[in-house]
Amino acid sequence: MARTPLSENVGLPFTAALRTCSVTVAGARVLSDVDFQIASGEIFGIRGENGSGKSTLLRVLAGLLIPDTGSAEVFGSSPTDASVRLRIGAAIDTPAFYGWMSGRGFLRTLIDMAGVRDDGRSQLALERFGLAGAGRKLTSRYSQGMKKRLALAAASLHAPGLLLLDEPTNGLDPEGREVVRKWIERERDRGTAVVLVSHRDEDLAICELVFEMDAGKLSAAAKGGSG
Amino acid sequence: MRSFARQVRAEARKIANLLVLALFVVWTVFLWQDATRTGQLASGQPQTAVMSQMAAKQQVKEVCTSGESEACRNARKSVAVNHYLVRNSIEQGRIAASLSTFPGVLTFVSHQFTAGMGWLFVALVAALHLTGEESRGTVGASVLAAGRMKYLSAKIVTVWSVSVVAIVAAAVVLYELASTFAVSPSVPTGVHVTAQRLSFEGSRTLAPDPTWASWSHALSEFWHAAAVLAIIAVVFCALATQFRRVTRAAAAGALVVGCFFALAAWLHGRAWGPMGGVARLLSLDHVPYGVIDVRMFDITGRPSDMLMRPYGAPVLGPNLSSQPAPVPYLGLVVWLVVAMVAVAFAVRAYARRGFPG
Repeated sequence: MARTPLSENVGLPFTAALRTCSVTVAGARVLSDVDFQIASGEIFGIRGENGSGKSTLLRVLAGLLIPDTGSAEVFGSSPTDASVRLRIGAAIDTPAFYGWMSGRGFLRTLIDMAGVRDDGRSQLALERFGLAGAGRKLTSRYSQGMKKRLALAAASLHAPGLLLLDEPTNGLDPEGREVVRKWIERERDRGTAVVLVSHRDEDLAICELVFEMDAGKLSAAAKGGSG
Repeated sequence: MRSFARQVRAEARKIANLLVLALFVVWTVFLWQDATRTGQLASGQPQTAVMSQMAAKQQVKEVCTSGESEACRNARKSVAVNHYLVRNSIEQGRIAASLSTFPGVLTFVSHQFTAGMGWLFVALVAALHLTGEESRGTVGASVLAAGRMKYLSAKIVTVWSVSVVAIVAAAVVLYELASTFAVSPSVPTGVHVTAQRLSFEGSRTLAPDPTWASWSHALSEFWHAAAVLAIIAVVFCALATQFRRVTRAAAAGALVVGCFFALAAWLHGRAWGPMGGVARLLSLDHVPYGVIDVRMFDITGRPSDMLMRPYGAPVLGPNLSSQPAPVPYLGLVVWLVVAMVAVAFAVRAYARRGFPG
């Protein structure tokens, strides 16, 4: 069942939306008049060539990049608003950590950064991605797969209402990929809106809609996994 | 408030790394070297100065027997010049002696931090702490969790806190190492003067400078340093926000420090070295500020009656007692404005900046 971008479904309640967003970086147009919106409990996929603007779109939705024109809206506000930030979970780009901290220390640091109390959520996040036994290990000693898991654990810390995931299964073994897929489905069932950027058809198979990104433009969507 | 305290705690975890520790060690070595040089300068100088003064007085006695000749006038000038040297040397000796007490060391470190290498320390820590996040790729997660402005504020507070903690830690380290640089300078208590010969009767060890050795003074100096650091931490953090790479931010910080020292030396060229110039520019050079400052080399004021009594024990004149420094209100306002402008630039930079995820 192919569908047009949801921005055309005026009146549909949405979790996040981009309205004619354009972003230029170092003179190059990275996003070009992008319209996009996603509602609670939906999983949308985005695929495209390297440098087509997929990660930039996620960064705009996360409030890490401010569009030159157009607007971004998450939960009815700007994604940079304090009231919105903690409802966004993001794992964008290559995972990066403080090498002198343990995995648990890194998560606790993020919890402190958010200004909230660690009510056991760091431990839960570690367990969710199979890192409970590696919580005390320095992140500089983590394998690529463990780093990916830790980045996803960080994204899941605050039970987000919007998840932005960039190649979430890169570097993971089949078992790890299954853990991530099940987690995403659980989040969807919980009512979380998920935007998933991936090159893997098997990852995108769980998406209701898959958009194609090409030279900063978002094309019409198709059913997930159909290519 | 509690929420912001947690954010500062998170930033403290980030800043507690080996690079910052290495910077602290290097900076402490510089301080130890400063303290050692101060001790070496002070150890022999009071005795030599007093002896020279006595020799000059003897000269006056010998050549001023028949009216005011040219030789007599020169001898009297020599006494007057030596008079200042004696005062400086004794004061320096008393300050050096106070470096064996913890308040003395704390005062010394506070001074050196605000008018010396500490500026470079703050500039480098700020560069590492802010741009390090960008080059490492961790900035996105932090900004997403904390928000742009709280992230920046927590960074500034952390750099300032680390600088203040560095003062206390360096004071503790130097106090433990005091045996390597502490001296007990002495002055002659009396001298036998014959026709062409001076000889000691004995000597008296100079007591530590009572002001430098007092806790109340040390704490007031410490808070003063903390206030100066608050301003320069804001300025260097704001400067670091303009860059995305540690090397560029560190180079810019070092350039600013260098320009400031050059400006200070140019405006106050008479001061001893660039540090003295900086001390003056920051209004830190009033008695009793600074070991390596103008007090050691250019005390102005009415000559005291010290050593005017032949062979008497040297005593400090009343105008040599330490005076509390006046609060430099104008300088404070100027620095606050500089800091506010720098923050405005930083906020502008962060309000529009894109961060990696």
